[in-house]
Amino acid sequence: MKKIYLVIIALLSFASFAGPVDFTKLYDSWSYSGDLSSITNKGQTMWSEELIPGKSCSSCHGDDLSRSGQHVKTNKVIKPLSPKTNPKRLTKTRKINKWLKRNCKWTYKRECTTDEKVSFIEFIRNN
Amino acid sequence: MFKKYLSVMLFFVVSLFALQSQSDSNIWTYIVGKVKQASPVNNELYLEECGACHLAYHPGLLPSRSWIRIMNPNQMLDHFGEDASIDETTIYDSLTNYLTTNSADESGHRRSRKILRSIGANDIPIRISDTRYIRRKHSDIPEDLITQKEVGSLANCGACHRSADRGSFDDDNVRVPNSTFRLWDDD
Repeated sequence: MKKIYLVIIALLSFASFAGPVDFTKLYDSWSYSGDLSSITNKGQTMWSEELIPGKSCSSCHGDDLSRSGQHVKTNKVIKPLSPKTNPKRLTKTRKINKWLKRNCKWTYKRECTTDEKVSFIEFIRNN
Repeated sequence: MFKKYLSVMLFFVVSLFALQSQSDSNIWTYIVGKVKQASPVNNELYLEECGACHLAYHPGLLPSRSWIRIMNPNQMLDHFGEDASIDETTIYDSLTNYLTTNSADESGHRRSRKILRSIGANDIPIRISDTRYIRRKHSDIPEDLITQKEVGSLANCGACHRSADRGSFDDDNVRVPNSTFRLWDDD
Protein backbone atom coordinates (compact mmCIF):
# COMPACT_ATOMS: atom_id res chain seq x y z
CA MET A 1 0.00 0.00 0.00
CA LYS A 2 2.82 2.35 0.91
CA LYS A 3 4.34 1.71 -2.50
CA ILE A 4 1.26 3.05 -4.22
CA TYR A 5 1.55 6.33 -2.35
CA LEU A 6 5.20 6.59 -3.29
CA VAL A 7 4.36 6.04 -6.95
CA ILE A 8 1.59 8.63 -6.76
CA ILE A 9 3.89 11.17 -5.13
CA ALA A 10 6.56 10.49 -7.75
CA LEU A 11 4.04 10.92 -10.56
CA LEU A 12 2.72 14.14 -9.06
CA SER A 13 6.18 15.58 -8.69
CA PHE A 14 6.89 14.76 -12.31
CA ALA A 15 3.60 16.29 -13.36
CA SER A 16 4.49 19.57 -11.69
CA PHE A 17 7.76 19.68 -13.57
CA ALA A 18 6.25 18.63 -16.86
CA GLY A 19 7.24 20.70 -19.87
CA PRO A 20 9.24 23.71 -18.73
CA VAL A 21 8.83 26.61 -21.11
CA ASP A 22 11.28 26.54 -23.99
CA PHE A 23 11.93 30.24 -24.39
CA THR A 24 13.61 29.93 -27.77
CA LYS A 25 10.48 28.20 -29.03
CA LEU A 26 8.28 30.78 -27.37
CA TYR A 27 10.14 33.67 -28.98
CA ASP A 28 10.04 31.82 -32.31
CA SER A 29 6.27 31.59 -31.94
CA TRP A 30 6.25 35.40 -31.80
CA SER A 31 8.51 35.39 -34.91
CA TYR A 32 11.33 37.02 -33.00
CA SER A 33 14.44 37.28 -35.11
CA GLY A 34 16.53 39.65 -33.04
CA ASP A 35 19.64 39.06 -31.00
CA LEU A 36 18.89 38.22 -27.36
CA SER A 37 22.21 39.57 -26.11
CA SER A 38 21.31 43.03 -27.38
CA ILE A 39 18.25 43.44 -25.19
CA THR A 40 19.78 42.81 -21.75
CA ASN A 41 18.60 45.95 -19.98
CA LYS A 42 15.78 46.96 -22.28
CA GLY A 43 13.10 45.27 -20.20
CA GLN A 44 14.33 46.83 -17.01
CA THR A 45 14.26 50.35 -18.52
CA MET A 46 10.78 49.81 -19.94
CA TRP A 47 9.52 48.31 -16.66
CA SER A 48 8.85 51.64 -15.00
CA GLU A 49 8.28 53.70 -18.16
CA GLU A 50 4.83 55.26 -18.28
CA LEU A 51 3.64 55.49 -21.88
CA ILE A 52 0.28 56.36 -20.38
CA PRO A 53 0.61 58.54 -17.26
CA GLY A 54 0.31 56.52 -14.06
CA LYS A 55 0.58 53.16 -15.80
CA SER A 56 3.67 51.01 -16.04
CA CYS A 57 4.57 47.41 -15.22
CA SER A 58 5.88 48.54 -11.87
CA SER A 59 2.60 50.27 -10.94
CA CYS A 60 1.27 46.85 -9.94
CA HIS A 61 4.32 44.56 -9.88
CA GLY A 62 6.74 46.96 -8.18
CA ASP A 63 10.38 47.47 -9.09
CA ASP A 64 11.75 44.56 -7.08
CA LEU A 65 10.46 41.42 -8.78
CA SER A 66 11.41 39.25 -5.84
CA ARG A 67 8.77 40.98 -3.76
CA SER A 68 4.99 41.05 -3.92
CA GLY A 69 3.27 43.81 -5.80
CA GLN A 70 -0.11 45.42 -5.32
CA HIS A 71 -2.72 46.09 -7.99
CA VAL A 72 -2.88 49.86 -8.27
CA LYS A 73 -6.65 49.92 -8.66
CA THR A 74 -7.97 47.00 -6.61
CA ASN A 75 -5.19 46.83 -3.99
CA LYS A 76 -5.02 43.08 -4.50
CA VAL A 77 -1.63 41.67 -3.54
CA ILE A 78 0.16 40.18 -6.56
CA LYS A 79 2.66 37.44 -5.83
CA PRO A 80 6.29 38.04 -6.84
CA LEU A 81 7.02 37.78 -10.56
CA SER A 82 10.56 36.54 -10.15
CA PRO A 83 10.83 32.80 -10.93
CA LYS A 84 13.59 32.65 -8.32
CA THR A 85 11.27 33.58 -5.47
CA ASN A 86 8.08 32.27 -7.06
CA PRO A 87 8.91 29.11 -9.02
CA LYS A 88 5.43 28.99 -10.54
CA ARG A 89 6.20 32.02 -12.70
CA LEU A 90 6.97 31.57 -16.41
CA THR A 91 6.12 27.87 -16.34
CA LYS A 92 3.15 27.89 -18.72
CA THR A 93 3.25 29.25 -22.26
CA ARG A 94 -0.50 29.80 -22.26
CA LYS A 95 -0.29 31.95 -19.15
CA ILE A 96 2.67 33.96 -20.43
CA ASN A 97 0.81 34.81 -23.63
CA LYS A 98 -2.41 35.55 -21.81
CA TRP A 99 -0.93 37.92 -19.27
CA LEU A 100 1.33 39.70 -21.77
CA LYS A 101 -1.71 40.40 -23.87
CA ARG A 102 -3.96 41.50 -21.03
CA ASN A 103 -1.37 43.56 -19.21
CA CYS A 104 0.03 45.25 -22.31
CA LYS A 105 -3.51 46.34 -23.15
CA TRP A 106 -3.90 47.66 -19.61
CA THR A 107 -0.58 49.48 -19.54
CA TYR A 108 -0.23 50.65 -23.15
CA LYS A 109 -3.80 50.42 -24.44
CA ARG A 110 -2.45 48.17 -27.19
CA GLU A 111 -0.79 44.80 -27.50
CA CYS A 112 2.98 44.73 -27.12
CA THR A 113 5.35 44.33 -30.02
CA THR A 114 7.47 41.19 -30.24
CA ASP A 115 10.50 43.18 -29.18
CA GLU A 116 8.76 44.50 -26.08
CA LYS A 117 7.45 41.06 -25.14
CA VAL A 118 10.87 39.43 -25.43
CA SER A 119 12.45 42.26 -23.44
CA PHE A 120 9.94 41.89 -20.61
CA ILE A 121 10.21 38.11 -20.41
CA GLU A 122 14.00 38.23 -20.48
CA PHE A 123 13.92 40.80 -17.68
CA ILE A 124 11.56 38.68 -15.57
CA ARG A 125 13.55 35.50 -16.25
CA ASN A 126 16.76 37.03 -15.02
CA ASN A 127 15.50 38.86 -11.96
CA MET B 1 -40.12 11.18 36.82
CA PHE B 2 -41.87 12.64 33.82
CA LYS B 3 -41.61 16.11 35.31
CA LYS B 4 -37.83 15.72 35.61
CA TYR B 5 -37.47 14.89 31.91
CA LEU B 6 -39.78 17.72 31.01
CA SER B 7 -37.60 20.26 32.76
CA VAL B 8 -34.48 18.88 31.09
CA MET B 9 -36.19 19.03 27.69
CA LEU B 10 -37.40 22.53 28.39
CA PHE B 11 -33.87 23.55 29.27
CA PHE B 12 -32.60 22.31 25.89
CA VAL B 13 -35.38 23.92 23.92
CA VAL B 14 -34.82 27.26 25.63
CA SER B 15 -31.06 26.96 25.03
CA LEU B 16 -31.65 26.20 21.37
CA PHE B 17 -33.76 29.31 20.90
CA ALA B 18 -31.30 31.39 22.88
CA LEU B 19 -28.47 30.18 20.65
CA GLN B 20 -30.56 30.74 17.57
CA SER B 21 -31.23 34.36 18.48
CA GLN B 22 -27.48 34.98 18.97
CA SER B 23 -26.38 33.00 15.97
CA ASP B 24 -25.24 34.28 12.60
CA SER B 25 -27.05 31.48 10.85
CA ASN B 26 -30.39 29.79 10.95
CA ILE B 27 -30.26 26.75 13.19
CA TRP B 28 -33.24 25.14 11.49
CA THR B 29 -31.66 25.14 8.06
CA TYR B 30 -28.54 23.75 9.74
CA ILE B 31 -30.50 20.94 11.37
CA VAL B 32 -32.31 19.96 8.19
CA GLY B 33 -29.02 20.02 6.31
CA LYS B 34 -29.25 23.14 4.21
CA VAL B 35 -26.31 25.48 3.73
CA LYS B 36 -25.32 27.09 6.99
CA GLN B 37 -22.18 28.93 5.94
CA ALA B 38 -21.23 30.22 2.54
CA SER B 39 -18.66 27.84 1.14
CA PRO B 40 -15.28 29.33 0.32
CA VAL B 41 -14.58 30.13 -3.30
CA ASN B 42 -12.82 27.00 -4.50
CA ASN B 43 -13.15 27.15 -8.26
CA GLU B 44 -9.62 27.09 -9.67
CA LEU B 45 -10.56 28.74 -12.95
CA TYR B 46 -12.43 31.56 -11.20
CA LEU B 47 -9.58 32.10 -8.74
CA GLU B 48 -7.09 32.27 -11.58
CA GLU B 49 -8.97 34.29 -14.18
CA CYS B 50 -10.77 36.73 -11.88
CA GLY B 51 -8.90 36.40 -8.61
CA ALA B 52 -5.59 37.41 -10.16
CA CYS B 53 -6.61 41.08 -10.22
CA HIS B 54 -9.21 41.34 -7.47
CA LEU B 55 -10.81 39.37 -4.68
CA ALA B 56 -12.64 36.41 -6.17
CA TYR B 57 -15.99 37.75 -4.98
CA HIS B 58 -18.23 35.06 -3.60
CA PRO B 59 -20.83 34.16 -6.25
CA GLY B 60 -23.50 34.30 -3.55
CA LEU B 61 -23.09 38.06 -3.37
CA LEU B 62 -25.04 38.66 -6.60
CA PRO B 63 -27.97 37.03 -8.40
CA SER B 64 -27.44 34.98 -11.55
CA ARG B 65 -28.77 37.72 -13.81
CA SER B 66 -26.00 40.02 -12.57
CA TRP B 67 -23.25 37.47 -13.18
CA ILE B 68 -24.58 36.81 -16.67
CA ARG B 69 -24.49 40.55 -17.39
CA ILE B 70 -20.97 40.96 -15.97
CA MET B 71 -19.60 37.95 -17.84
CA ASN B 72 -20.94 39.06 -21.22
CA PRO B 73 -17.89 39.16 -23.54
CA ASN B 74 -18.78 42.69 -24.71
CA GLN B 75 -19.12 43.88 -21.14
CA MET B 76 -15.72 42.34 -20.38
CA LEU B 77 -14.04 44.73 -22.83
CA ASP B 78 -14.94 47.46 -20.34
CA HIS B 79 -14.88 45.65 -17.01
CA PHE B 80 -15.19 48.57 -14.58
CA GLY B 81 -12.91 50.57 -16.84
CA GLU B 82 -10.49 47.76 -17.68
CA ASP B 83 -10.24 45.47 -20.66
CA ALA B 84 -10.57 42.08 -18.99
CA SER B 85 -11.52 40.15 -22.10
CA ILE B 86 -10.52 36.51 -22.37
CA ASP B 87 -9.57 34.92 -25.68
CA GLU B 88 -11.14 31.53 -25.13
CA THR B 89 -14.94 31.70 -25.24
CA THR B 90 -15.15 28.36 -23.40
CA ILE B 91 -13.65 30.08 -20.35
CA TYR B 92 -16.52 32.57 -20.32
CA ASP B 93 -18.95 29.67 -20.38
CA SER B 94 -17.24 27.81 -17.53
CA LEU B 95 -16.97 30.92 -15.38
CA THR B 96 -20.59 31.96 -15.98
CA ASN B 97 -21.68 28.43 -15.22
CA TYR B 98 -19.80 28.41 -11.92
CA LEU B 99 -21.06 31.87 -10.94
CA THR B 100 -24.70 31.20 -11.75
CA THR B 101 -24.86 27.78 -10.13
CA ASN B 102 -23.51 29.31 -6.89
CA SER B 103 -25.21 32.70 -7.13
CA ALA B 104 -27.41 34.36 -4.53
CA ASP B 105 -30.47 32.77 -6.18
CA GLU B 106 -29.07 29.32 -5.53
CA SER B 107 -27.56 29.95 -2.11
CA GLY B 108 -29.29 29.10 1.12
CA HIS B 109 -27.06 31.50 2.99
CA ARG B 110 -28.86 34.20 4.88
CA ARG B 111 -26.81 37.08 3.53
CA SER B 112 -27.42 35.94 -0.03
CA ARG B 113 -31.14 35.96 0.62
CA LYS B 114 -30.95 39.43 2.14
CA ILE B 115 -28.95 40.76 -0.81
CA LEU B 116 -31.46 39.21 -3.17
CA ARG B 117 -34.41 40.75 -1.36
CA SER B 118 -32.77 44.18 -1.46
CA ILE B 119 -32.53 44.18 -5.27
CA GLY B 120 -35.48 45.40 -7.33
CA ALA B 121 -37.10 42.73 -9.50
CA ASN B 122 -36.07 44.56 -12.67
CA ASP B 123 -32.63 45.63 -11.50
CA ILE B 124 -29.49 43.89 -12.68
CA PRO B 125 -26.71 45.38 -10.55
CA ILE B 126 -23.14 44.75 -11.67
CA ARG B 127 -21.59 46.08 -8.47
CA ILE B 128 -22.10 44.20 -5.22
CA SER B 129 -21.64 47.54 -3.46
CA ASP B 130 -24.62 48.95 -5.37
CA THR B 131 -27.10 46.57 -3.78
CA ARG B 132 -29.23 48.16 -1.07
CA TYR B 133 -28.33 45.55 1.53
CA ILE B 134 -24.57 46.04 1.17
CA ARG B 135 -24.96 49.83 1.06
CA ARG B 136 -27.05 49.81 4.23
CA LYS B 137 -24.66 47.50 6.05
CA HIS B 138 -21.83 49.94 5.37
CA SER B 139 -23.75 53.20 5.80
CA ASP B 140 -22.42 53.93 9.29
CA ILE B 141 -18.77 53.75 8.30
CA PRO B 142 -17.14 57.17 8.00
CA GLU B 143 -16.32 57.96 4.37
CA ASP B 144 -12.62 58.59 4.99
CA LEU B 145 -12.17 55.07 6.40
CA ILE B 146 -13.43 53.70 3.10
CA THR B 147 -11.49 56.02 0.80
CA GLN B 148 -8.22 55.68 2.73
CA LYS B 149 -5.29 54.16 0.84
CA GLU B 150 -5.46 50.76 2.56
CA VAL B 151 -9.08 50.27 1.51
CA GLY B 152 -9.92 52.43 -1.52
CA SER B 153 -13.55 51.53 -1.95
CA LEU B 154 -16.26 49.14 -0.81
CA ALA B 155 -15.12 46.82 -3.61
CA ASN B 156 -12.00 45.95 -1.61
CA CYS B 157 -13.85 43.63 0.80
CA GLY B 158 -10.73 41.91 2.06
CA ALA B 159 -9.20 45.13 3.41
CA CYS B 160 -11.55 44.97 6.41
CA HIS B 161 -13.28 41.58 6.14
CA ARG B 162 -10.22 39.51 6.87
CA SER B 163 -11.98 36.25 6.02
CA ALA B 164 -13.64 37.50 2.83
CA ASP B 165 -11.58 35.06 0.76
CA ARG B 166 -13.13 32.24 2.78
CA GLY B 167 -16.63 33.53 2.10
CA SER B 168 -17.09 34.76 5.65
CA PHE B 169 -18.28 38.29 6.33
CA ASP B 170 -18.95 37.82 10.01
CA ASP B 171 -18.62 40.98 12.11
CA ASP B 172 -16.09 39.19 14.32
CA ASN B 173 -13.56 39.15 11.50
CA VAL B 174 -13.86 42.82 10.60
CA ARG B 175 -10.82 45.02 11.21
CA VAL B 176 -10.88 48.43 9.57
CA PRO B 177 -7.29 49.56 8.88
CA ASN B 178 -6.05 52.51 10.98
CA SER B 179 -9.19 52.49 13.05
CA THR B 180 -10.86 50.85 15.99
CA PHE B 181 -14.20 51.19 14.24
CA ARG B 182 -16.34 48.13 14.88
CA LEU B 183 -19.76 47.50 13.53
CA TRP B 184 -22.07 45.68 15.87
CA ASP B 185 -25.16 45.57 13.81
CA ASP B 186 -27.46 42.74 14.75
CA ASP B 187 -29.20 42.69 11.41
